Amino acid sequence: MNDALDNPTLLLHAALDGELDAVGMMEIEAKLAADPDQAAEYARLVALRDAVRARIPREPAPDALRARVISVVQKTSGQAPQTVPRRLKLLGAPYRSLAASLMVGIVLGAGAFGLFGPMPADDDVQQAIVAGFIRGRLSGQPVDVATSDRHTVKPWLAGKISGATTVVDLAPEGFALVGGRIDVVGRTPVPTLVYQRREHQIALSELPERRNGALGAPRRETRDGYSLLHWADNGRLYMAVSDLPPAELDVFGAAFRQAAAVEREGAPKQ
Amino acid sequence: MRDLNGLSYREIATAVGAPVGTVMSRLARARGLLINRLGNRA
Repeated sequence: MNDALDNPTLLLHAALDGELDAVGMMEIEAKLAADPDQAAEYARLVALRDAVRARIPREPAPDALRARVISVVQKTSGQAPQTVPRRLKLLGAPYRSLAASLMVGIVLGAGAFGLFGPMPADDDVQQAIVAGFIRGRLSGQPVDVATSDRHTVKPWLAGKISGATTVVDLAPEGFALVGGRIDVVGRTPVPTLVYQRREHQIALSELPERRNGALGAPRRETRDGYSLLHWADNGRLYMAVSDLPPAELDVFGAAFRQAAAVEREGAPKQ
Repeated sequence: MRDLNGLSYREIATAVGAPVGTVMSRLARARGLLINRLGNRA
């Protein structure tokens, strides 16, 4: 892989596939900005990927392949057969996405989130969300898929969890998309987007809305010194945590809700 | 496996029993061929 990363062409494909870390992705984006030929090649690859996904129906992985992947995960994580990883972040980085895929396969096979049981109480959810944010900041690797292209992040998440995640481009509003990751809250895999503003980051998690849950209107709190903003929208609960000043987190929340509404309506973004 | 099943390079390498670098080069070659063929048909 290291030799491959010296090859500019392979590096471009790795960027397309969300295989680079945040630093590598930033380097590629700088190269694309400076080199029109590379940018054109990247655009061709994006177009090909989108065309393939749009025109060729997805089929479930064959049973033999699924069994092989499950076997590898169990061997590398030292877990007993049929055990689902409790916290993906505790596994080694190379096997995180593999374990996530395994978990998704089980989710999809069961046909519903119900397999995982109810979400934990509000307080525990907030604690898990903030802990995920802190872990991402401390590790320097806040995302599992590092790209500012929402058309890469969204399908990556869709390949890991059931249901579509709202991913919007907020770069014009000053919040650049860094990428996405899967957090685990209680026993539920939760898609989390990471945006950047100056030196600050915002981690936005999308959770199933509680029946008796939070009000739709945004509500801001402070937890462990971090700002937490949550709101319900279109049947989903959103929780944003950041080291940004609270007022700027409010701006982020408003920008996200507006962009999400525009995307839902299918109207072109202004 | 990459574009339709969403497997990572490491997952594909495990499944086909090849090094990750080989997976990367094969994927790049396959995409290049596909782009050329589609380009010729356009």
